[in-house]
Amino acid sequence: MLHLQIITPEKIVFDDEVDQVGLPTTTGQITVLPGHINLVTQLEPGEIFFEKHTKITRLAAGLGFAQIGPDNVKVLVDLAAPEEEIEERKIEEAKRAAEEALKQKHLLSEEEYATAAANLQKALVQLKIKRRHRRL
Amino acid sequence: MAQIREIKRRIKSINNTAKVTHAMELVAAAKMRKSQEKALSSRPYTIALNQMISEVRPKTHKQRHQLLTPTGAPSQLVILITSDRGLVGGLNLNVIREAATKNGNPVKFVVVGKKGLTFTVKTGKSLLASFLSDEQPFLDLARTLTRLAIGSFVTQEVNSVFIVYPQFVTTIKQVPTTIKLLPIELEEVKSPENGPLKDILLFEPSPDRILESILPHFVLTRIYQALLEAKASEHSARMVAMKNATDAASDLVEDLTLTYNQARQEAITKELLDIVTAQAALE
Repeated sequence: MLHLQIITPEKIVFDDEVDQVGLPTTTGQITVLPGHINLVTQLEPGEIFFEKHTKITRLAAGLGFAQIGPDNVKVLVDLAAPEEEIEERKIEEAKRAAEEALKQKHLLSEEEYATAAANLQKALVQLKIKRRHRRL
Repeated sequence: MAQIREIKRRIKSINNTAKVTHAMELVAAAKMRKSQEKALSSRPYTIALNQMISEVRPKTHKQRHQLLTPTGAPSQLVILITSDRGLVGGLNLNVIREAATKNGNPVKFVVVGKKGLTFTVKTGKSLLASFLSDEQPFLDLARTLTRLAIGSFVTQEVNSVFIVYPQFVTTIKQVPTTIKLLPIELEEVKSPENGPLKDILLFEPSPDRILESILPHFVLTRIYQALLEAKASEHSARMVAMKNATDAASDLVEDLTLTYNQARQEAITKELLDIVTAQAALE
């Protein structure tokens, strides 16, 4: 069993024992099983999933970091939305706003551009998770 | 008679004031609940990030990151967080007093909030930048502040960066707090022993890259948290101040009502006396 904690600046999203965890790191998707070697890694917007009693839960995740030990995984991200909480309309709007901002690239400072790009990436990830589930 | 009318007018005006302060109290209470919730719910993140860095740091001792190394510059930077508006009791005063104890080295100020701005301008401190605290979302503000802080630290303009803000403890207690942001100093955390594997720590992609991205993020998180704490403190302090004002007003009204009734009674007695005396003179 792994003790998984997912913490965002807004709240503690998840804090419980799970069987395995999948994380989108900057070097690729990894799956963590109990007994993993100590690892600190950087996360990019993508899908976090964890399995508990053969039930898989998926979350849309933003940028962040993860610290992995033999029996615990601590995930710090700026966004972690469970599927049920993702509201498609809102995400579409966020996506449009981000795209709009990116179009006016020349008007933005480097920082604003990075923020807009990150927002777009996050919106896309959330949409992807939401839509894939619906097809099943 | 003149006195009675005078008292009546004062009661009326105090009642009006009480109405205003009561309304402000209610508004502050509503805002307070929201901002307290925000400040408290983001604390675990800040604490967890702190823990993570403290655990990671000793294992990367070979890498001396520039945000961890003190520079030789003579001055220091203080980010002072105050409120834009007054009527918050001694909150701003306490924070400013805390900031003013930073003597010795020349201090450069970056202020958030109008109250801090007036302070730095009036006392002729050197002011680097000022922001209004309600102008933009906190995360954006925190980003700008982070960039400013890291920028002036890396270019060796300042040797350290502090942030001074009112830490929210309870609704009636806010403590002015100073935190050293840069160079990043971490208290050694004794982490629970996890067996022999504890000593081995992998980094992906690499320790350098992790530190490169986690340290600025850490500074950002701390500033963000400070802003949230300051907001929660501000609304709490305002609510308490307004509650005190409302209470004081109703006390005053009570006193004045008593005086008014006495004066009225006296006037009636006098009038009666006049009538009785007049009647007695006629008989």
